[in-house]
Amino acid sequence: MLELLQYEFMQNAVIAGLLAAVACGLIGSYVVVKRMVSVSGGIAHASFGGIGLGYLLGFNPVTGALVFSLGAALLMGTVTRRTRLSEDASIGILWATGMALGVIFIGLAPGYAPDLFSYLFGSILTVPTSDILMMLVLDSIILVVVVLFYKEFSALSFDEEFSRVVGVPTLFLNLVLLCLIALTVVVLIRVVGIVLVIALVTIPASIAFQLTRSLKKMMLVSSLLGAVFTIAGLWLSYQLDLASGATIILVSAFFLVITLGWTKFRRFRQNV
Amino acid sequence: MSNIASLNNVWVNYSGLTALEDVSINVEEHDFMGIIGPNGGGKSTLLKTILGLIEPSRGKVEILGMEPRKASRQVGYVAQFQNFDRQFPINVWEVALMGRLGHAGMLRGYSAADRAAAQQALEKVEMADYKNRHISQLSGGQQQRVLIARALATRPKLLLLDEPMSNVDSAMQKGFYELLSELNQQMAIIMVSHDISAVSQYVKKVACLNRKLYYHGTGQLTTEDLEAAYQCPVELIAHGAPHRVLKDHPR
Repeated sequence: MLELLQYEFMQNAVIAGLLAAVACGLIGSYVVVKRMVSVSGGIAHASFGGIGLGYLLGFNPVTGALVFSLGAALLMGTVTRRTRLSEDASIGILWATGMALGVIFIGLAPGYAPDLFSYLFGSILTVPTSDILMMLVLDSIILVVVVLFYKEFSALSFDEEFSRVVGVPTLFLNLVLLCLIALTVVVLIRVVGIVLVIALVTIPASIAFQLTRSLKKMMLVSSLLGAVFTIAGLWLSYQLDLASGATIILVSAFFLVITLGWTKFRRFRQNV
Repeated sequence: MSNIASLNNVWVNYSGLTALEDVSINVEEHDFMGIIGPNGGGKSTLLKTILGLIEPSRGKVEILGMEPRKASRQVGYVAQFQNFDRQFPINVWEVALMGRLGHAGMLRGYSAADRAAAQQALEKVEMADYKNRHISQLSGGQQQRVLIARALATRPKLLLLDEPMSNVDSAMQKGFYELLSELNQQMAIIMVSHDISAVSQYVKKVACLNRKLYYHGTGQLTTEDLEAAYQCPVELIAHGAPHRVLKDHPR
C-alpha cells in the first residue's frame, strides 16, 4: 500500500476518501438521527440531471451535480409545505425526474459519454486534482455551517416543535440542512457514485449510532469509520481488481453486520 | 391579578374541520387550570394555539399581553412524551439546555447564565444528579421530569403540559402533582388530559373541552359539562379527598 502512495492517482484517491469521510460523518449523523435517508437518496439521484447537463453543455459534470442537488434539496424542502404532495411522494418524483433528465441530456450530447459509469458507481482512482479542491471547499463549508448551527441542528433533529416554540427558525434551518446533504452528495459522487452515495451517508453513522450516545461522538466515530472503510475498500479493490465504490460499500456493510451482531451479543451477555 | 393568557371567541379550522369552536378562556397569574376532554377533542390544538404554532381562523389570542409567537419564549411547553425518539443520542443536560435556545440566540454557544438556568431547572425537578445520563436510561417519570426541566429553563410565566401523567406510573403521580403545585407558586399552569382522574386537588380551575370549552370559573365540574364534552352519560366517581373536582352526587 505504502509504495502505491507514490503514484499521484493513489494520493488523490486517499485524500478523496478522507474528505468523503468528513462529510459523511458530519451530515450522515444528522441523516440517521433525523431519519432523512430517503430525502438524501432523492437528492443524490436528482443530481444525475446535472451530470447529464454537464456532458451536454461541456462543463464539469460535478458542477452540474452541485447545482442540481442543491435545487432538488430546496424543492424537497418547500414543495411539501406549499402543495398537497406528501414528502414521500415528492422524494420519489424528484428522484426519478432528475435521473430522467440526466438520461435525456446525455442522449442529446454528441458522441459517447466516456466515464458516465464512474459518476453512477464511483471511481475513486480517477479523481482529478480539480475535483479534490472542490471537495475540500465543500467539506469546509459543511464543517463551518455545522459548527455554527450545531445546537440548533441538534435541537431540531430531536424535537422540531419545541425548537420552533423557543424561537429557532426551523423552516430556514431545515432548508440549510437539506443543502448540506446536497453538498455531501457532491463530495461523495466521485468516491462511490450517485447510486451508492446513500450507503456511505448511512452506514458509518448507523454503526456509530450503535456505539455512542452523544451526537458529537457519533459524528467523530462515523468520520473515522468512513475513513477506515474508504481506505480499506480502496486497498481491497486494488488488490482484487474490483470496482472501488462497490467494494467500499461492501466493506462498510460487512462492518455494520459485525457491529450489530456484537451489540446484540453484548446485550445478551448482560442479561444472562 | 394580571392576565397571563386570554383567548376570546377563538375558532380553529383544520382542512375543513373545526377543531376549536368559539373558545374563550382567561388564565391569570397563579392559576392552575386543568382541561380535560376526549381524545381528538382539540386539547393539543388549544395548546398549540396558545404557543402560536397554529393560527386561529377567528378570534383573538393574547399571551402576556402579546401575540403568541412573540410571547412563546416566556412560555414553557411540555409536549406528550410519545412524540420523542428515546434512542436519540442526547443526554439529560443537553435536553435541559434546549430550553435556553431562544435566549442564547443563534451563532453562539450557551452562556454561563443559560447553563445556570438549565442547572437550576434540573435541580428543581430533582434530576440534577442524572445530568450525564442518556435519556433512554431514565424511567418514564424521570423522562417527564427532564422535559419539565427543559420547559422551566426558559424561565416561563406560563407552563403548558400536554398529558403529563401518561408516562408517569400512578405511584409517582402524587409527587408529580406536588412538584407542579410548587411550580404553580411562580407561574400559571395549564394542563390538558383525556383522563378525568388526572385532575387532582391541586388543580384550581377545571374545564372540559370537546371542540367547545365548557367552563364555569370554578374548581368543580358539573355532570352537564362532562356529558356535553364527552357526548355520553358520564358516571361520576369521586375518589374522596385527593380528587374533589366532582360535586357530591347521588349514587
